Amino acid sequence: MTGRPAGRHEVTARLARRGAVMLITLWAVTLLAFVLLRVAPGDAALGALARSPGEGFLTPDQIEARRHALGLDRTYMNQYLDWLWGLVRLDAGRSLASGIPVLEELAPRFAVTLELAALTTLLVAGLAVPAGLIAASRAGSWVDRGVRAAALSFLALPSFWVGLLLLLALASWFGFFRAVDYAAPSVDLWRNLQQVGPAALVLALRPAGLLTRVIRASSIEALAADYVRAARARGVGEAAIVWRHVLRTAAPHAVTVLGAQVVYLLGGAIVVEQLFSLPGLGRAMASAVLARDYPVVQLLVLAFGVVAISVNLAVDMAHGLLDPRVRGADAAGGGAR
Amino acid sequence: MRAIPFRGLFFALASVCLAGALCACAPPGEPSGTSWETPAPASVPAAARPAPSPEAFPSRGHPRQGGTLRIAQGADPASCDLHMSRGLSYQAVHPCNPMLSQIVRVDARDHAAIGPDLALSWELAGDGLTWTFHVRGEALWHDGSPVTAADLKFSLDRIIRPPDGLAVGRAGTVARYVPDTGSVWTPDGGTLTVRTRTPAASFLANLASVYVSVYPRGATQALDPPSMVLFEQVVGSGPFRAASAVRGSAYKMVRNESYYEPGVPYLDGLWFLVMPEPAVRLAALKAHEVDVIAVITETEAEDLEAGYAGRIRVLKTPSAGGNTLQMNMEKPPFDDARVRRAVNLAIDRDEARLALGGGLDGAIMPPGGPWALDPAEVRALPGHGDKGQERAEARQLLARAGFPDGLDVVLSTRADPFFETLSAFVAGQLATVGIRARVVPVEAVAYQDLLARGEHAMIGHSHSFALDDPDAILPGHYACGGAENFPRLCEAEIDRLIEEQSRTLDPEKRKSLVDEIQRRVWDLDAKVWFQWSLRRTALWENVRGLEPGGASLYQGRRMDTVWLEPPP
Repeated sequence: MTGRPAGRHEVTARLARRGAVMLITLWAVTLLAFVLLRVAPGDAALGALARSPGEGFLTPDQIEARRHALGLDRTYMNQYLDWLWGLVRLDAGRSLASGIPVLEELAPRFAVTLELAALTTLLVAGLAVPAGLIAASRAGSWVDRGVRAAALSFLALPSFWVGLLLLLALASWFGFFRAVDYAAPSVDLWRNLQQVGPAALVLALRPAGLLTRVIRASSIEALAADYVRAARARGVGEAAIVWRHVLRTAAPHAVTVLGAQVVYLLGGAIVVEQLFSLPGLGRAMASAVLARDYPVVQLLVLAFGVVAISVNLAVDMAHGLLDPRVRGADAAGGGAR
Repeated sequence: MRAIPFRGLFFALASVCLAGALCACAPPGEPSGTSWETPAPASVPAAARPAPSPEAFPSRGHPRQGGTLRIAQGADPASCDLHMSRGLSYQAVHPCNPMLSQIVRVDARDHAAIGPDLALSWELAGDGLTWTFHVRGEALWHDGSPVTAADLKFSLDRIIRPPDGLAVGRAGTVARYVPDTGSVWTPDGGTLTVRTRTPAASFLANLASVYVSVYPRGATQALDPPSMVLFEQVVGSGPFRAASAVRGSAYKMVRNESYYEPGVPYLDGLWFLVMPEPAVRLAALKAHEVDVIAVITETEAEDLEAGYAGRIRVLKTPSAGGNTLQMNMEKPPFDDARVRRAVNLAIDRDEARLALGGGLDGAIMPPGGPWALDPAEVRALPGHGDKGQERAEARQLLARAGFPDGLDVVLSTRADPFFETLSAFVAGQLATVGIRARVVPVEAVAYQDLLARGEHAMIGHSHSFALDDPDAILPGHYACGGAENFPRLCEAEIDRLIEEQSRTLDPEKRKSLVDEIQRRVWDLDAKVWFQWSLRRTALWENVRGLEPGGASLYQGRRMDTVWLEPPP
């Protein structure tokens, strides 16, 4: 009994350390995004006035007036601190391009990317777990070779290329094409799935390939383990063996890989949203970078950073739940991941 | 090792694949709101009837009401405030124009003709300076309030003196004629009077430009900043009104039932769908999920002509724009006229047309238009002669300029497939006379900055004019300090001629002045037009009334006389 309060204290201290590291990392991310945007060539004030050279009768005075109106003539330090202080007050500023509050502009896009990421993750898990287990159970067979070849292909093929081919093939050969106007799931779920589904499928291929290989390797190891042989000797059914032993052994590895792939999905969304005309955060990021729309880019980088760090934290926690050895190490004061 | 339950896992895997395939393979649906109804023939004004269709696609009837037209474009409209500098691209004009009206308008079927719009009639006083416009009484804003002369004055005022933080765009041509907001006044609610600084031959033509659309005073001033930037903010008086907007995806309009022109628009709905990838736009067109793509490439046109003949039309029309090679006259070695001439002589115009998708030959005003230099004279201009002789002369000029072994130059261009292609072509041409050009694609905003600072030496650049009019083109491109004067040419005599032609009301005399400007500019070899483009528009065969009435990609896009032919 005497050890429990000390353990809670230790857990609290570890969480506090973790939280502090997260905050420092996020701060570094914001600083990096701010600095990189400012050192990139191109004048944001000019970009906010005209999209192409020569558009408009722009005089240097007008450009300077715009720069002043946007606050871009202040010192970098002031701009950065103002932006941080705005974030504390939940005010991320206004888009330099549209003049709309950034949070208002990005909120509907967030839902699109969240849906894409969720559907992609489901597809990755739905494809990779059965495929990995099937390949492991038939290791060395044509099925295994087929699954491995497919997984390797998924890893090697660029998602942009696959997506483009998918769209062109469907349109040219079958006359099917539904990547037109986006409908939110609440408006028309079927149409929404027709648009987001193919994009999620394309985005899922690479992580599915990776995860299939990881699950296959872990499962082969588990299937050869003594405790599986002992279970079979006790007459435990194959389904129960898979569920209780093989999957449980593979799960921590799978969760780690899946977590890492969520961060990949954010990057991949930029390409796939562009291709499938989805109005999500990825496309917003691409156009904001090209227009030097500082407030939009800075908030998006911060948001992507929060997601990446949160997912890593969630993976660590899930690892602890799934792997008794990790729990033991944590209880013993380890867990230095 | 024993097998684990294979069948269950197989079905799980198959289910996931099937779900993905189903999502991808749903059959295309009909556009919503499609219904067909023939309006009473008497309600269709003769002026509103579309031009006859080409013979290959004979029309099966008269214009009909109904249907939704879906147009694919590559980007969101940056701003529906067409007065200002962010609302210049065709991707802003095309979705916003159908919601707006002008004081007078360019005829969609003949861009050279100017007709009434919110002003039913107008007259020019004997002083040659004072224009009086009589505003039609029945026009309403989309919110139901009446359009008054005060709204017209408000719109001209904000072009002459833009709101803080905004910069006027192509509408600025009108501001050149009108010295201040005091020169625009409203004697009564139905009359607008404008006094120009000098006699202005092109005042009416530029007033009719889509960029001089009329915005309601009250609804605009209620915005912060006072500018209808967003599609859904637009309160206009045009034939369509905003229904919904999803940025990055779709901009939808519905028919304005209170539009002042009787019998139009024909369409129930008008959608602009944003598809950034050209291949995706083309795929959507082939699948008939969209009806029109306003601009396609020659390769795409060939693809459609080969595979969709009889179903999809590709309209090819001369474009008021083209491809140029521009040299900064303030930067060596292009401050030397001999080097610039050598560059001009090196480029083979026939090869340009072959490599870059056809087009026309011209000087500095769009060929085929009313201000074009006579074709025979164009053929005699430097750069259009026998290429073998011209290239030999180019090498001699380079040698005399101190470059007997040729020279190395940086050819900057915008990082964009189209600009990079034309620049790569130019680099190949320059190599024939020993000029080793290194093409450097520069990302769009950085490219803009590079040109604004005048730090470029040579650029490969494409232009598209909003209006085939000397005042809309010459001051911006060839006068000292012009917004698109990237070669930074500055000649007092050219400036004087540009001013003089603007004030010259006699058409023949004005044309001769414009011709003289063309010769003088061409002789400087600073902005070398080597190919005037063709514009290719792809549309399904049932789309009627969209045949372009002129070279500009921007004018005549109100879509009120476009209609959809029902299936046979």
